[in-house]
Amino acid sequence: MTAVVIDEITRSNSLDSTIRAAQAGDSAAFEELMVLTERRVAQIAWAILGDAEDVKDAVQETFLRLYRFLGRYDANRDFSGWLARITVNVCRDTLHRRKRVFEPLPDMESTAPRADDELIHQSELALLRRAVDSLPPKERLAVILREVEGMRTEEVATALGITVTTVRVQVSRARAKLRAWIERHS
Amino acid sequence: MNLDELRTPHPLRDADFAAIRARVKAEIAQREERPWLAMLLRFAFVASLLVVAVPYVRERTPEVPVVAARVEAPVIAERGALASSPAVVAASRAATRAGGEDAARPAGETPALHSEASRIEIITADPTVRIIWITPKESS
Repeated sequence: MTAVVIDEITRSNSLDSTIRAAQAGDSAAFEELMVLTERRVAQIAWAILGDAEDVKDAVQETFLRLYRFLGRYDANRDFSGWLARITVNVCRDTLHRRKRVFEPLPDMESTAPRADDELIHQSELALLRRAVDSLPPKERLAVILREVEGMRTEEVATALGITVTTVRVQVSRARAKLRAWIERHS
Repeated sequence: MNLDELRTPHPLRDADFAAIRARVKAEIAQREERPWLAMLLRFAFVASLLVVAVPYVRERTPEVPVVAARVEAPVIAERGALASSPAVVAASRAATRAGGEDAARPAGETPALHSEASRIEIITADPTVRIIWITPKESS
């Protein structure tokens, strides 16, 4: 446990010093910053966009914006929350540009043979994914970040630029709508 | 069913990340090599906005009706030396500028003059206020 805490602190200090160096114009530090954060950025973008090519573009655009706005970053703020906010904004722009295509439900006949319960589970997951896709954009983002990605409510609030209370309200409403949607479509 | 079951790891591999980092660095280097390009693009954007917006704004601006203003001769009945003094002329001009229905009174309707006295009448902006200055006529 102590080792984990020390590891966290070391990583955090390393991130802080990398950010400071990148802010000062050190290009190697900026590359290091990308390496430290790219997986987290990609995971958020993947959860929102659900398309590998879009995720690549979103990660690239996120880092370009990070480079442009790094000078404005206040070291007293939570860097990962700030970066998550940039990522969410990039993903929002991507979603505006394209109309999201719903993933088709798995075709029971053509799917390779699997155990029945596995097929049912996959079918339920696809239904749930479609239900999430049917949510209004704000509630959808809140529920994806909070419930799917497991981010803390405070982190979601920072990433979406809203209050903690609003996040709770949006997630609660989203859950109610998901329940109703699934009852209608199952 | 829990929503966290929807969580799937992103499909990007190390090679994808390396390619993304390379593209980001190339883009940054390109921007830094040509800072004038950004300025030029901004200028072009503003110029194109102006080209589009100015005719549109002109088209939308309603024509201001031209009111034909006819300024009558100074409404001041003057006779004698006093009337030509600079103070009186200035006062009469100010009164004319101030307007009012009396300001447009035809010259023929100016107050009658006494034969022995000069009468200077200054019309103010307030139609209820009129300054009348009567002074004995200088003998020649």
